[in-house]
Amino acid sequence: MPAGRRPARPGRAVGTALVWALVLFNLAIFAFLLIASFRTTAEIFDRPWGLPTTLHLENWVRAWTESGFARATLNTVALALAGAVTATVVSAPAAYALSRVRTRSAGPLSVFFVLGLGIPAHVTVIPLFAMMADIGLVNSLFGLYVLYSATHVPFTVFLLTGFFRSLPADVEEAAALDGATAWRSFWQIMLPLARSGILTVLILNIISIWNETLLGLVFLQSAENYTLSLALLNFMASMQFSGADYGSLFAGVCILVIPMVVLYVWFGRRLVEGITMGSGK
Amino acid sequence: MRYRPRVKTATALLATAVLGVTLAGCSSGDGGGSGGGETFTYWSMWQESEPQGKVVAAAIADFEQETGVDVQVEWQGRDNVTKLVAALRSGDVPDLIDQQYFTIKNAIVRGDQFTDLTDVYDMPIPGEEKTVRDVVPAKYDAFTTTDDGAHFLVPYEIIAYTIWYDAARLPEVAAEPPQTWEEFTQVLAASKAAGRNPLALDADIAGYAEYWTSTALVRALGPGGLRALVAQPDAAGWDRPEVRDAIGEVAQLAANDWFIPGYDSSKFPAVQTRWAQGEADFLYMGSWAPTETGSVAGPDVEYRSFNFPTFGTDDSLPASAIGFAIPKAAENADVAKRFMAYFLNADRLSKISTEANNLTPRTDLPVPPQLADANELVSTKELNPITDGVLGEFSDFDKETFQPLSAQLLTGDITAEAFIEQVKARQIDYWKAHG
Amino acid sequence: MAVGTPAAGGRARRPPPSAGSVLDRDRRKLYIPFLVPALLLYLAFVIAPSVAALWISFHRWDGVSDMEWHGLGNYVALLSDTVFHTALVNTLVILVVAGGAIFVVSFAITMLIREMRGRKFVRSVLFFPHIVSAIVLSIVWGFLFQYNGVVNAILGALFGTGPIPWLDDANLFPMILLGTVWLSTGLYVTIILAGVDRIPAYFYEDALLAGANAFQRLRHVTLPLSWDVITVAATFWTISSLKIFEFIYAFGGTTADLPPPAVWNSALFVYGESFGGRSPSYLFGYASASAMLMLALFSVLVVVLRRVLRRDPVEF
Repeated sequence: MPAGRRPARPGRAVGTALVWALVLFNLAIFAFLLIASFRTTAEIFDRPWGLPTTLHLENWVRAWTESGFARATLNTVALALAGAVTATVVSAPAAYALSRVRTRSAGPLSVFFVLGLGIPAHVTVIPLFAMMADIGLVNSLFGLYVLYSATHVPFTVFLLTGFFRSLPADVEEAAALDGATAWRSFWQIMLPLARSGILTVLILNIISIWNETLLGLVFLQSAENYTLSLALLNFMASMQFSGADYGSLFAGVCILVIPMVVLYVWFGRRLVEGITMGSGK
Repeated sequence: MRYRPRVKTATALLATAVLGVTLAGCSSGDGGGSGGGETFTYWSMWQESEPQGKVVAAAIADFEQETGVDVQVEWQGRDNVTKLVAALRSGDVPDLIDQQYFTIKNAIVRGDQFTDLTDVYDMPIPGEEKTVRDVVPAKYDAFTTTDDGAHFLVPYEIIAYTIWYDAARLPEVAAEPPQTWEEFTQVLAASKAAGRNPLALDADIAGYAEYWTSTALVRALGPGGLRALVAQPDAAGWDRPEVRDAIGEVAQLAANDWFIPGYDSSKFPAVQTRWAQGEADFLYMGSWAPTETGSVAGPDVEYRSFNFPTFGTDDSLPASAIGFAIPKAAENADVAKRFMAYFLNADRLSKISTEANNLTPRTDLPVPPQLADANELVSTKELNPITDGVLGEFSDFDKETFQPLSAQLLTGDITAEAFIEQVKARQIDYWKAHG
Repeated sequence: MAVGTPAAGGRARRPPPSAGSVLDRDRRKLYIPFLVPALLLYLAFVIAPSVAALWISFHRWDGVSDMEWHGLGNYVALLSDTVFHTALVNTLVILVVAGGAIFVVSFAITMLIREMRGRKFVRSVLFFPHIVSAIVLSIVWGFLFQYNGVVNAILGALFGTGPIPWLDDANLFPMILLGTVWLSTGLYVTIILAGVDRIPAYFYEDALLAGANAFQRLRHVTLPLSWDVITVAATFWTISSLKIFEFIYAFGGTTADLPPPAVWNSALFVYGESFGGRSPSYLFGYASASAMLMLALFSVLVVVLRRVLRRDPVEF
């Protein structure tokens, strides 16, 4: 960070103003979503920028009860937590092995896992569907949980391998001198050291699964299995016959967005560090 | 310090296991029925809170009570057939499904995955002297039979596609609706001259734009003409003068600025809503229009409609049918068939008309006033599948070529010549690729 | 980053040879059991389906009936499919145009907020769209910019302009590009900021003393020293841009409708040819072939990109 102050230049002033404008835009959008969820559709279109005259809580009630957002929230929370945890639990040992064990295959295997990052879901969705249908795991939250866990393995291995590599080797060496086995070394030394990295990747995975749509669209058929994204899409579809109800739509949107915002405010610093950690190596 | 990580990790693993098992327990297929009694599964195209959904739900409740059959309903929404196709692989299919005929035809008739329902037509309707065939006359066969004459659908709702308007605002149109295209364009010009917006269209739904072009072509070529046109691998028919004229007439609608401003950059259902609130005069839509716009319509709106104007002699009514079908792999087909006949009973089916405000195949049921015109047309005119069946039979071509080009024509982005040129070229490519 | 990582050979304290190799041998025993679960899941649910997709691409298949061998027929058909061409072009336009805009904007913002007060707050707020579902963002974007939507209302109130057709046929794809830039900028600002932050101050001081202006400082100090991060970000963007689906999908009229083929990218083409729309096409072989083609193309692009961007690492 350059020390000392530089004279303010008009270009910089304009640029700074633009940046703050962008920040304001993002905040305004979030505020708009929140405020609009308490208004009726007519109000929103009449005076888009006004405050609600009365708090139309029925929007939230309608979204929560009639449109299945309650059930969808439960499904999504379960899926996100279970999927993220499983992906991490499965990938952390693998990342440790790839980063610490000096064999010939470690390098190529790392690259092999990274390959998976580049394979988009829409490439694999059709055969995945055929495969899951054959073993009866279509329209099943458990099936989707397995899919989410598996598809997040490449990213998790990638991030954690880089992270483990960056951790100092001394501590483990010292423990080895004291007679610790590799197994204990992993559980009792590496994992605590890697706590922040693991937490970061957990949160990133939770966010990714929370917002995932394509696999949910293809694999979930029953309304009671819907995730929040699907419930939102379903609600949009129902607006067709029941008339545009943007108030309730935005209430639904808020239900989808607010948990992520809370998560982000709470863990934001870690998230940012985690991303930079992966990129700064 | 040493033991904490282990406990934490163990807890995490346990939590995952518990979550996994909970998910497995929560996961549902199509729900097993109670052991013992008869049962069947029904994947509905309706949402539970939709008017039709409520009518069907009430009928199901009555059926369960009267027959003791346990009915498992999934209110899937419009995707239900796509989901069915997805389920066909695993063999875990619902017993009863309903949709527009072309969606069902495209999905399960093509791959021979349907149950022949010809025997249902001979079944008597519970509570009446009539059979199903008596109340579903042969004129609906175009929507319900395969090429070999097998019935794949038992219809319970008929959709007529007509041009809607508010008779309270336009009494002169109500008194004498335009019949020919010339009369229609005169009415539109007069409306524009009087400072109103003649036409409404949600152009972001390419399917709605397609209604205009496809019906114009059917008017010019007669029923079956458009389908034959699209089926040509060399697309030679597009060069015929009557085709050019028809497309040209439709292009004039946009060129004359007769559409409500903003129709090409709005999000559905904004334009339809504005039409219902009196900002535009005419909307070409299916007979669900009054129901869909009813909640946002201005007060005193009097829904009326007339047939798409004629170019020459053809005055067939574009129509569609929604009905029940049974996948081939269904396990409880017999029970499902009984429910079909049960639902067609006058008392139950009439609610589709009186409560859900849609037309039914039966001619002996009361019809709500806003559908009177459409009902009249259904009774008197020859029925022709909407888009001449192109939507169902050539769905890929329709979705990627005919619909988007129609949308561009209706928004004035391309001329009639460009439309024909591009549709020809892409049709040739399509048949080369998928013929 | 952990600057203090000892290089493989140079440890400050040399441990007795036995401890290191005991640990190594021990670890080697764990190698396979630690890898197997991840590897299995990965092979079963990522690699195998990809290979299967390749297999399917050589057939005609509607998901229900038997697969019908079609050789390279799908690929040949794709080459003359105008809709696929559009999807391919759109995907590349997103990659290059949106990507270019994202990098320029992100870099500019990074340089601006480095010395700003409240930079952490700014960075957090800019990052916000990244944690929100793309479906939501698309719904919001469409809602704001529709003909009688909020943006036109505000513009009309402020400037008295008539409503602008933001979402008509011609403008829809640029609006999608703009939206993509908006929702991606925060992430790349974060990444680039992290890289730029690591540049020690004395480089800038030296440059200042030598009389370099802002642009020269950018070119000769900032860019070379953050090249690593830029490379990673560019690779990440290349991979991510191929996967964009939800943002474009939600621009369809209703959820049963897809957006017009003119704005389809590769992912939407696959979806549109298989499951999507009111009357799905169920052309699974065709869809898989298009996915394979795009995957091959992008693999080449990533390799080329890394080669082009490779430079000798600058140690500092």
